[in-house]
Amino acid sequence: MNMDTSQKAWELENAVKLVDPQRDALYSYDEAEQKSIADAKPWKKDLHHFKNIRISAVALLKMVMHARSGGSIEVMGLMQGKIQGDAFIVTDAFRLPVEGTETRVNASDSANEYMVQYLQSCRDNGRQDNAVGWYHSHPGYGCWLSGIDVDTQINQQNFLEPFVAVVIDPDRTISAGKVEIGAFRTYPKDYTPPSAGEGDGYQTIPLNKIEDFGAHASRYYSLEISHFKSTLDTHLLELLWNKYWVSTLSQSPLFTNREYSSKQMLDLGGKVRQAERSIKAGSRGGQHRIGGKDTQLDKVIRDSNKIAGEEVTGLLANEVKGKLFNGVGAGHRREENREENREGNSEENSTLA
Amino acid sequence: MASTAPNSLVSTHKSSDSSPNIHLHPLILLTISDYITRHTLRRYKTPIVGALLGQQNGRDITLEHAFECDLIQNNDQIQLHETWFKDRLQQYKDVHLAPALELMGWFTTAAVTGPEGIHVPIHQQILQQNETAILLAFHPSSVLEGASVGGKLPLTIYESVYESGEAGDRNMEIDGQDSPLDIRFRELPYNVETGEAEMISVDFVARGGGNATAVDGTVKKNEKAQASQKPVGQVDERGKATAKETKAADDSSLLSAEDEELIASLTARANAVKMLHTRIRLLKSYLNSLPLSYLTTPAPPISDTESTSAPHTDTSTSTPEINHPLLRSLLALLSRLPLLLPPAHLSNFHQETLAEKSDVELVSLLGSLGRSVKDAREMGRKFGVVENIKSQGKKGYINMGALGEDMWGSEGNDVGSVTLTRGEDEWGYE
Ligand SMILES: [Zn+2]
Repeated sequence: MNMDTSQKAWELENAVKLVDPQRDALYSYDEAEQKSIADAKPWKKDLHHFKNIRISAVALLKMVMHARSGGSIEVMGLMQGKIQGDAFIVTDAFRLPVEGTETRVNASDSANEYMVQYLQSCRDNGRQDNAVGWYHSHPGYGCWLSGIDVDTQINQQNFLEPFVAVVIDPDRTISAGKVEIGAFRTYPKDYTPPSAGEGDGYQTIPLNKIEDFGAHASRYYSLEISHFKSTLDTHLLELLWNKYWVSTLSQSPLFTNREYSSKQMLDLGGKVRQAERSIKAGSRGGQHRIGGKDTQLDKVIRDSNKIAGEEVTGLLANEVKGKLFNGVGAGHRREENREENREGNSEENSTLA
Repeated sequence: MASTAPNSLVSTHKSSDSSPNIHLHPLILLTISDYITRHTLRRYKTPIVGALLGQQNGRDITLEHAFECDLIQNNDQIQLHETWFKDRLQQYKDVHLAPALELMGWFTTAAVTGPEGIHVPIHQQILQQNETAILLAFHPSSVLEGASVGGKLPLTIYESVYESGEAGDRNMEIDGQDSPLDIRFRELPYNVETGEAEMISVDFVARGGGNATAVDGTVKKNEKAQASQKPVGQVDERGKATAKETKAADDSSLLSAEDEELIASLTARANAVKMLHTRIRLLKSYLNSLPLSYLTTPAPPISDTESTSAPHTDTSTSTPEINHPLLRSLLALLSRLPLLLPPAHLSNFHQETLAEKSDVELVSLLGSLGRSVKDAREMGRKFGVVENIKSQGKKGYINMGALGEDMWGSEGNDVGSVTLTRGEDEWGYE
């Protein structure tokens, strides 16, 4: 069998035509270029060098599904990709055999061994993409870095640069109906950022975690996340929409996330009590702190608005579903009854009368 | 081998009752798509071949995960690199323990006519691992032809069976096929199955406008390109909401994050309802096109349901092909409708719905209560400010007039600027 026919049977010629070299350029890889970036180390000169992270469709899907599969257990994995300007380009992601990562400080030896082997297999198969970061899940408590996470990331930025940390919250992803994800870079241990805290987006963090969050929030900054997909991805996703619109209509987010929303309410209750206490303490002092702010009260309000927003979205989903389907069976029944009546009428008027 | 001739490797028999039911997950599609794109842009010349992982439960096979494979050339045959493949498979099994994923088959690119001789050696290798392995053939040509007829995905899934070779010596491609029975590929039906998290992510990547244009390495351009990319997607709010810093920088976002989410969710639902509508219309027009005789056959159940869903029209329309399985499943669907919400459970259901609704309203109420408390606090504070100034004014320490002006005027001056400007701002808003 000669080369031509085999090429034809593998359909490689046609496969090539599916790709738009311009629009899909991020999928290419230039080893020399990556090497020179790694040598130049622009992130050494500027601690804020990295500002963006762009994640491929397939990598995002793999990470979110992994996070979700862990349930309430934290899971972790690595991301492969490259560097372009001030951005991490994540082309793929893979799982690591680690669970319940609060003891993770240094990922265990078996995980390290796994990582080395996995990357070697990739290279043997001609895939040069380096590991450019790690991801892990925070089921139900938002996307930020804990003290342990910060230490891990500082360590990795020392030894594995360039490296980024990504956190995914699978529970909130489900409840909010959109992917909850954050990407972070840490500062060196001896560095204090000019404007500590604030400015960053706001998110609800459970009471039992808030101390951890507050203590380390100034040790890292977040990157702007965007995702990318190829022309072929776009085409396939359009075709897929034809298949999965059904689940958009049939899902019941309020019901599936009952446990999550109960937890959120419980947490909110605790925060309200805390805010109450601090306000009482303030007024007992007898002084109106002029111009002062009720920071805790503000947080409670933002929390409750966020929860209310999620709940209302869920309720609307239910109501749309109800409007569409609840009457359907009944309508059919009525039709049928009428039909029967009509038949009965025409056939045996006497019995009805 | 002429492409027009029927493919001798594809079985002419239909899939039987013992054939597996295939549930395909979107991740597989995106993995293949990613593979093809990367493969092309990095100018690899090897064929596109990958393994499919999933679960088998009786006759149900799920295809959930996929990875690309290393190949070797062996006496004109293209085969899997055995040791590499074994290691790789183990690596994937090690991290997919719950639920445990197994090798379910493999994927490659092939013409719509089906797999050919060159595909057989790899299939044989896979069969050694799983004797019911299936083959997913992705058809680049049907993507090119824009043959997305009725939303059909550009792929076919085959199971392999052994049939006595009636085609005789015609299929010379199968080298070294000693057995009296020849391998044949039989097409299998499949459906697309999506987990909840999977669906949200698919939705997320499908909506966001981002394409993979590489922007120039310099920082400035990079930022510009990203900024200009944002307005492209119609429902970009979702992407925006997660990128926290964008939100802060985006001055055009007058809506709160909650409102944007609500709008995104409603848009998704509106699109789905539109889709449902077109599908129902399609079914209706099909039923309308059926000959009248067919709608009033003596068989009572059919005539009953048909008459309720489709109005009788004249029979003059050209007789279309009558699809009995379709009619039967329509009938089944219609007769199941009343069971959707049986009257026995109606009151329970209403009660549940009402309870759920009250819960949500209560949460909203709590939210607005919080806002009111905040406003009241603010009011108290401002009152305090005024009181303070008044009392100070009476004591005559500070020029009351000037401060008063400050309070109500538009610009705060240096005196007590911190506290007073704050107060002013808030007055202004109310
Ligand atoms: Zn963590």
